[in-house]
Amino acid sequence: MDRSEIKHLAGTHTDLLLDIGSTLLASGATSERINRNVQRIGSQLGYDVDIFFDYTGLIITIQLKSDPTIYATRHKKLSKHHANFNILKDISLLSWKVKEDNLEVPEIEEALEEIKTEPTYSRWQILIAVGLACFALCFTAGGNLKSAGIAGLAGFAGMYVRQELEKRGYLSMIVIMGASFVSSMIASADAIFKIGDKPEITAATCVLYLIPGVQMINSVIDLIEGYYPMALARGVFSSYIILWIAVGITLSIMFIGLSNF
Amino acid sequence: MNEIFFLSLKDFLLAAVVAIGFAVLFRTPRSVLWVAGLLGGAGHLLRYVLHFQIGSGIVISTLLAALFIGIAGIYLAHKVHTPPVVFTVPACITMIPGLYAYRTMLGLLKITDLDTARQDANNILLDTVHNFVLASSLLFCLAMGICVGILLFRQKSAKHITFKLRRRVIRYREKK
Repeated sequence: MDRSEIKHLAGTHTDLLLDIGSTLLASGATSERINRNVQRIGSQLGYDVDIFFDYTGLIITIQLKSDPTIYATRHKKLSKHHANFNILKDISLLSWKVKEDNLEVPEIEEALEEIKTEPTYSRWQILIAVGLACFALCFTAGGNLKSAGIAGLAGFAGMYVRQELEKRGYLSMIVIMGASFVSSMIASADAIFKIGDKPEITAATCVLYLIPGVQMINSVIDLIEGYYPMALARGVFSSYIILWIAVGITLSIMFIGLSNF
Repeated sequence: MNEIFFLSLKDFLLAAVVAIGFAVLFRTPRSVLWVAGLLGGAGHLLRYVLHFQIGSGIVISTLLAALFIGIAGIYLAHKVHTPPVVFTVPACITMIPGLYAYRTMLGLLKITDLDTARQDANNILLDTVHNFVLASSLLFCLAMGICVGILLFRQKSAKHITFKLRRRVIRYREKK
């Protein structure tokens, strides 16, 4: 193989590593996890890998260990973050498999494609899970059975709205605001008709499924592990989402009146 | 005594439902959903016992519960061959300080209206700041629990963490 061919190959390998890294980032992996997984696969292919992290994209530079004059740098932009721990698990297992079984590049590409398209939960399964989670959250926080039922219903309906708005391609802030508005309107029934004894708990727990929990926790983990810009970006993003949840609740308060909350 | 047992059981089961619900939302693989439920239930139960039965502070109870989830999660990760975050994140989410965050937001809303705020300014300001600080502290505790592997075991990958002292000593010697 001559030099230009090796250089070209290095470029395609960078693209593969970028694909792995950005898939992990979009699925809710912490920076250290992305770093570890990509390094593991990259060093098995014979490269030194350096990653620059950003919330909306990654820059990867690879350098051939046996010949440092061969290197490549590429950037990939991310469009959407969507927590998917199934991908996290599969790519982690893939990276260990690459290390232990010495997989070739086409095999890795094939496995990655399979991981990306693997179906997880259906829409209705997620809806029911969110409804049950809101029900149980309200119950553990001290609401009675009726309040918990309303919280569950509110979570279910809000999640349905979120899915519908997401399907139509609205901006994430509009999606979150709409869902939180619908949820808190339903939850306000508890306060208006005096169904439960603590309507505050119903209103607080029915929007918890919208909280970007993965990003919030990842933000602190990145802070502890030393990826400060990423931690900052995640923190800002999750505060922004919470702000839009608050806007949705505020809208419904405007309809119902603050004294009812 | 019987009543405490019943309340604890209720807490465990409800928290397990919350953990499984959030695990589905985060698309945790089906085969490890039960681990998320178990950890979420046990962690929340620990916090319930520490905070409501023994009476220790809510922040320290949450921290201990999150650390428990983190350590038990690493142990279970070896059993099911899955990275621990996949189930420790939904398990810790059961203790998310939603109520305090909500109260912070309501307090801020009240402050936007000067007349409402003036009626009871001291309480509204204090409550808002208190709820905000409490919510952030609790969130930080949850994150500490999830990255306990890095904090306590000095290992970046959970795969290399072992609870058997002898193996750790051998590894230490190999490093030397």
